[in-house]
Amino acid sequence: MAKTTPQIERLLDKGYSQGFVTEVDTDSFPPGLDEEVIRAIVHKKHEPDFMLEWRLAAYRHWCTMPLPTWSRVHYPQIDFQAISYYSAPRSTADGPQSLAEVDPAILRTYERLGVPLHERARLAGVAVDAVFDSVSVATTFQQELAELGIIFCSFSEAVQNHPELVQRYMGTVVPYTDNFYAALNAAVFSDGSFCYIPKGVKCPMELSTYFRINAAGTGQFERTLIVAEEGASVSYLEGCTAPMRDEHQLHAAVVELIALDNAEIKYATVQNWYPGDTEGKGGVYNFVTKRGLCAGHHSKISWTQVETGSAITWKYPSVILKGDYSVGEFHSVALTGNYQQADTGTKMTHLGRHTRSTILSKGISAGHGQNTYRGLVKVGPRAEDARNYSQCDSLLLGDRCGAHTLPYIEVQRPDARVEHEATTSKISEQQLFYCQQRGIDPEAAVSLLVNGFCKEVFRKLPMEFAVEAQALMEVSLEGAVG
Amino acid sequence: MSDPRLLSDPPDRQALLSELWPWLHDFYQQAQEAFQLQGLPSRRLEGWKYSRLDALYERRFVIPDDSPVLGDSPESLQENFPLAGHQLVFAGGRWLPEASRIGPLPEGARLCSMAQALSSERELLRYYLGQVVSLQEHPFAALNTLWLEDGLLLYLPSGCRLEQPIHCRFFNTLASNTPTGLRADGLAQVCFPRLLLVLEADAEATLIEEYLDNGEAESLTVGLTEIRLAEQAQLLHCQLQRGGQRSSHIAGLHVEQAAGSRLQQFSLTLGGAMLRNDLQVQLLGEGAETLLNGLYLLDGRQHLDNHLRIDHRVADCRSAVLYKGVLDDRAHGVFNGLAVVHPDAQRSDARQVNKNLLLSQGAEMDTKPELQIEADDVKCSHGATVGHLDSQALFYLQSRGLDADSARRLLTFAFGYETLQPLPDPLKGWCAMLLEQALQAQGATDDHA
Repeated sequence: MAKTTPQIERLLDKGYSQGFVTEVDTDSFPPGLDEEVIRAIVHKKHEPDFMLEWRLAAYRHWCTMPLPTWSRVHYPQIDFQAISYYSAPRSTADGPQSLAEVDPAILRTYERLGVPLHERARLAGVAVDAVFDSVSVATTFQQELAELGIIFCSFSEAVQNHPELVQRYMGTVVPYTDNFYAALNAAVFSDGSFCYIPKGVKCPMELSTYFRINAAGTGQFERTLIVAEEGASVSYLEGCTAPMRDEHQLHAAVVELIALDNAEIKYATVQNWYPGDTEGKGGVYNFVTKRGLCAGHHSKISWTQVETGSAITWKYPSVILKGDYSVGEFHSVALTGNYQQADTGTKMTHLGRHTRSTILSKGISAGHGQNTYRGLVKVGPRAEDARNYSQCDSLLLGDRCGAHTLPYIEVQRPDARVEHEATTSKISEQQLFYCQQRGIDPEAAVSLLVNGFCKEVFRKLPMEFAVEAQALMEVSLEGAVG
Repeated sequence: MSDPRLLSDPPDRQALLSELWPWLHDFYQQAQEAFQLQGLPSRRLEGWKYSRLDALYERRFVIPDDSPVLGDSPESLQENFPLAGHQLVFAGGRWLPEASRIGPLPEGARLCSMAQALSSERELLRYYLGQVVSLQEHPFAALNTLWLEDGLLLYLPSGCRLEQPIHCRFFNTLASNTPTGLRADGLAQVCFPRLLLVLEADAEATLIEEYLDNGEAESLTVGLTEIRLAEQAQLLHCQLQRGGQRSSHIAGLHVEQAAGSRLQQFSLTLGGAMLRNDLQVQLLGEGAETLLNGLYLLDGRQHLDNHLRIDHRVADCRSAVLYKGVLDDRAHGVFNGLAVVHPDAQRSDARQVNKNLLLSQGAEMDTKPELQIEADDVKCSHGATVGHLDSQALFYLQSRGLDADSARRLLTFAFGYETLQPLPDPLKGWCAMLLEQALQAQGATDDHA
């Protein structure tokens, strides 16, 4: 029973329009990882000594760690010696000075992806840091932001120009001992974005990073650090794509957010790495550690993610609610089709008094996709009056896919209120019939129903991203009637 | 041979038994291999993450050599059975025939101690014993099998309906010479009761397993119950844990259900030190149904870990889980419920609810209701809450003239009573009374109230 209809299959086949390769000269390290490679990265990037020490400590720790096997994702063993740990377009080896110096081929790439890097794109009103393989190629609006005291630049620039800030905050939320991939990232990360919002400043525009894997046989390891000082606020967007390749590519990123008193950080991701083909060949392995620290009172961190890409997604954007009255939010839509596997969720750690968190997760499985929600809500012994509400809904499209829910709830306070609800269902025949009977064709009906299922999450995205997310869902889903 | 921990001095009873019956020898052998492969579980294993068994592992336990004697048994032994029916009494894992009363049975039905069955019902045991449980995945089940010597066998042939319930009482230790039940050598007693319940097509029964203390001695019970329900069979099974502060209980309940069968299981935990319940249900035939309810009232430093797993292997099965808990003082509760819907188990209906009340600073509840779903036409849901009593409801009751204690007790009772609702009447009344008593005892020792 429940075969996917031809319409659905067509939709699923529609393909991955971002899967092209850009021909640029690259400066890459040969595959392999040892202390020499790390020294070479440090040398290449002219990093100060504290970075070298930190990277080496991370590498040595990583060597002692076993590969994690607890998640519900299955993949052949990754040969970490077969990956090149640094790849940069040759023309930007010394870092971009201005857009005029950026390789036109790269600019064209971002144009094709619809990312506004060019000066004329000012109208879009979004400041973008574009990361191409291992390095940041361009950051827009730096000048305008600097006038407000906001630092928005690539991680490499931050290490050169603001080493004191980097040294003070890097690794405080995600230490290199945190997990296997965080340790690997700490050892070899090559670039990423850095953002610092000074006291009392409300960032006037959306900041965003656009990650692009281009070179073959490389891994991408970037690190993002966002610090919002007292009373500051910022909204941040992240997007990612990669070419279609038959072999798997590794992406292991770390994102750290720090919100001080009364600060607010909104972090949104639309993740669309290459998911592999219909037979599960190729695709990006996405192992990401994202964590926010509500360090100050009345601070707020909110994660919104739309995960449609990657062969494997392994990511748990978390919030440590340390400050009193701090608030954590997690809104997620994860879609797995073909042979995609997603093991994603969040961790809300309540430590401060009167802390609140909300979790809203929508999982959609189609084809042979396996979708797992894994979450932890922990209320510590001092988290007086903590409050959490979690809702995880799964939608199954097709009878060969899977949806799994693993919520961990740990409560050590009698005055805490923790609620968790989850449902799993499919699009009902009645709903489909009703839509068709009102003149909506089956394909549009599925799309309508799925978008309705995800609506609460899409509403949390900035407008441009919400439109993109909705379009992405349509592409990824085409044809998935239950 | 086995892990040197837990058992200081393995007895030779098994050797004697298996000498008489080669099949049993092999059976023990398999259990020993399964146990040796796994060893005692540590907290590094996901399924044992929240259970601190280290205190148990450090203790030395013995299986007593003496035969069971009724002697000057403590009062609780004579506590009247609340329900008319077959009554079986065990002490230290061994059957006490003189304290038991088995009524007349329908033709073909078997109800006897496992020790008796080991000599007289070998055909049945050879066919059914150890078939439901996977020893490779459950180290304590392997341990129980390794030291299997007594317990209970119930076999009901097709169409056989037992009108009267079977009530089994397990006292934690063999009655000994001292009134407190403490052993002179200071060692604690361990026992491994084993129950096998086989209901053929259309058979029906009610069975109650009740665990009690008959003294103040420290003890450990590693129990295992295997249940096999054939087509349309129906079983009501209750497990009542009423042990004292020094008796620990690790219980396994493994069930296989054929088409159209129905299991109603109720687990009531009121007493015991370190408690672990593994409940595994395999729904193997279409239309099988399983309803699992549980209620736990914990205080002091009690630890309870409820692990449930329901496998929907075929289409059109239904499972419903409702577990509720009240935790006081420094009690630690764990709930892990897992519903697995296998590929092609379409139209599965799996529901799971776990609700908890935390009454005191220091109490901890860790709950994890899991779903693993590989079919699309399903209705699955789960919910979990941890909270405290509704202050408005408390206020309302006080405004109607109830004192704070009574109001709190009334609301807590109502909270717990929901889990008793599906039980048939004399049993429900008795469980409600036990709950009421436990709440009163809890209230009496509370200073925060």
